[in-house]
Parts: sequence; structure tokens; C-alpha cells
Amino acid sequence: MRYVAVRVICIFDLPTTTDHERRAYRRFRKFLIENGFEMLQYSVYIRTCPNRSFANKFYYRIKQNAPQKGDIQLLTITEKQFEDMVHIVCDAKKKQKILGSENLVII
Amino acid sequence: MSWRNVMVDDGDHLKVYLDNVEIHKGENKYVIPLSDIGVIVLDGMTTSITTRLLAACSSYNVVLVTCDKKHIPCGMYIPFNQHSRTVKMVRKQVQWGENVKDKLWQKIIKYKIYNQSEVLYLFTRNEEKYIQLQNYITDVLPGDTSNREGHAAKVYFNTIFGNDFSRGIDCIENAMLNYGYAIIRAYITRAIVSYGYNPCLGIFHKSEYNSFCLADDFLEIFRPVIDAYVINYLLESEEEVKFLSQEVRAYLIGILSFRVRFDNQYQKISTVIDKFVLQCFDYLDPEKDNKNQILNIKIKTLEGIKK
Repeated sequence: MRYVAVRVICIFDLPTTTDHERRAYRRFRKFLIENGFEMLQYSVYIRTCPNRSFANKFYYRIKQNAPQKGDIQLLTITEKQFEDMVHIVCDAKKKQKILGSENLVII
Repeated sequence: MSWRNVMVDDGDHLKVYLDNVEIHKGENKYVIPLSDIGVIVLDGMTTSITTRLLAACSSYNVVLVTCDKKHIPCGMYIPFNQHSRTVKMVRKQVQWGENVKDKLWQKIIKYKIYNQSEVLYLFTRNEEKYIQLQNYITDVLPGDTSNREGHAAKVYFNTIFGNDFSRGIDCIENAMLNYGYAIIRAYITRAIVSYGYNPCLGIFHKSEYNSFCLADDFLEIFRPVIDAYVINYLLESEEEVKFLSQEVRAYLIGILSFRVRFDNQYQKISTVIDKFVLQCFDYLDPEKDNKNQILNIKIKTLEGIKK
């Protein structure tokens, strides 16, 4: 099998009117970060995976841990497609370094 | 599943952020999930690290390797006690039979010399020495009582690096080899403790000053692979390699994702180590009756190494 890195994108819209809903939102967001998701923008989180079968387990996990109300969508794209993303307007302060998918990370 | 190895070169601060390791360096901040990481190599003298990160490394079975002033790995932080049946496994380990240990050692040395002969032929095309090494393979006795390993090593190193070379002298070749061995040794120790065994009770190495005898036993078979990886770098690099620069160190840690042939498949060396160590434990296990089964250790083709 060839080694093909992918990115799982999780896009969500969760209601935050009542205390209860806000709590569910916070828990979900924390759950995402604990599972290695990084914020790309508000309500857009990504996770780097070494291959597709690795990515599939997050589909299951997120399904198990999702709040009952709101919209949560998942999309998997390849590393190449992710790299081709174009920045139109970029706030320098917000710009965070997101690591690539190589096995060795040198910092 | 760990698929990432991290090298931190003069980072500022490392801490835990919700099951991720957060690395601060200058103005940049990097976040890496701990469950993805196999090894973290810490280099540079000014990096600070929190106790919570050490604890998190233990629970995620991440090995932390620290380096000294000369950038040579000098210590490792190994997560003990993560296996649910450590005591049972260590009891088993104490009961390993001498015969089985000797036979396994014989197999490891046979494959080590085989791999050495392949590496030697690949880089020097010296058929005479190649045949000499091949002849040693058939002479290896259980427990290697005739010390074919030592004889083979002498022929091997002298043919590749010249007659003046010795593993003890202070030169760039030895520094690179030591670095590569240390990284693989740390990874093997990680595999050993993750299966619940104790790395200080070896099958051949018995020194009472060494806490990682078992890791050194398993390391033998991987040494020629590291040698080939190092020699290749020395031959390919355009400028003369004089010291362990950051580029050289990064290349050496990259060996963990280097692919070798094992079980008729090309796999990353980190995966191969996990599988190989498990096979050895199955072989040594007194409860399992598979002593006649041939250990399938074939780190044969050094694909990717070009001459």
C-alpha cells in the first residue's frame, strides 16, 4: 500500500444560546483538540493522518462524541489538495504554523 | 499508532496542551498530538520541559531522548509500567531457557553477518571478503561460542573504512554510527517495555553495568542497516562531513522512517522493530511450543541505499 497522507476537516456549527448548549460546545471543542485536531479557522478544525484507514477512526470517534444539536460535517482531503489551498487575505497574527505530514518533524 | 518522530533543536519550552505536546520556539508555536509520536529527541541545552509532559509521555508510550553537549544521545526516558501484566512477563523472562536463548542469539548473529556481507559487497564490491563473511555464517554456533561475530566485525569494518579504523577512535564515522545506534536502541527499548518485558535481562549481553542488555541484543541485527545508512550519507554528501551538524542529525533520526525488507514487504524500520521484537518474545516464551518454527528475520535488501 502506498503511503498517502490525508487531512480530516471537521466543520461545525453548534448552538450557543443556553448554558447547557455552550457546555456541550466547549466539551466538543476540547474533545477535538485532545484528538489532535488543530484550529484552522473558527469552527474549522483539521487533523493530519498518515493514511485513510487512520482517518476513518476519527469518523467513528466524532460520531460517538458529538453533541445532539447542531451541524457537524467531516471531509477528508489529500495532503496535496490541502497544500494547494490559496490564502487570499491572511491576518499575520492569526497565521499559525501547521505542520506537514512528514514522519520526521524538526523544530 | 505512532508515526511521527520529533527532533527539537534548541526549542524554548515544551508543555502539554490537552493531550498534545506544545513546542515553543521563538515566536512560533507547534502543536503535535502525543498519540502520533514515537520518539522525541531533545537537543540543545536551554530547552525547558514540564513534569506534566514527562507524565504524559509515559502514558502515551513516548520515548524522550536527551543529548549531551556534543549532541550525542546520552539518556532516555522510558515509560515503564504501562503494560498490564509486567510482573507476569518479567517472570516469564527469568524462565527463558538457556538453550532457546543461545539458539536465538545464533540466529541473530547469522543474520547480522549476512546483512554485514550484503552491506560490504554493496559499498566495496570486494568479492573475496564477501565470501569470507558468507563462510562465517555457517560457522556460527549456538550462543556464538566461537565468537564469529567479533571476527566478522573486524573484517567488515576494516574493509569498509580501512585498516586504521577502529570503533573506539574519535572520528565522524564513529560519531554518526553511535548516534544512529543510540536512536534505534531507544526505539527497541520502547518496544521491549511496551510488551511488558525488562530491558536489563539480556539473552547474550550480561554486563552488570548495562541497563539495556536486551535492547543491545536485538540491536545487533539492525546495526548493518544503520551502517549502510551512514555510509551512504558520507558518500553522497558533496562537502566533507566534519561534525554532527543539525542536517546530519536530522538525517540520522530519519532512519526510523527508512524502509527495509522484512516479511517480504518494505516497511518502516520502526514498524520492523516492533514486529521483530514481538517475534523474538514469541520464540523465547516457554509456554509457546514453536521452537522449531524458523524465525522470519530477513532484513535483506537495503533498497533506497544507492551506490
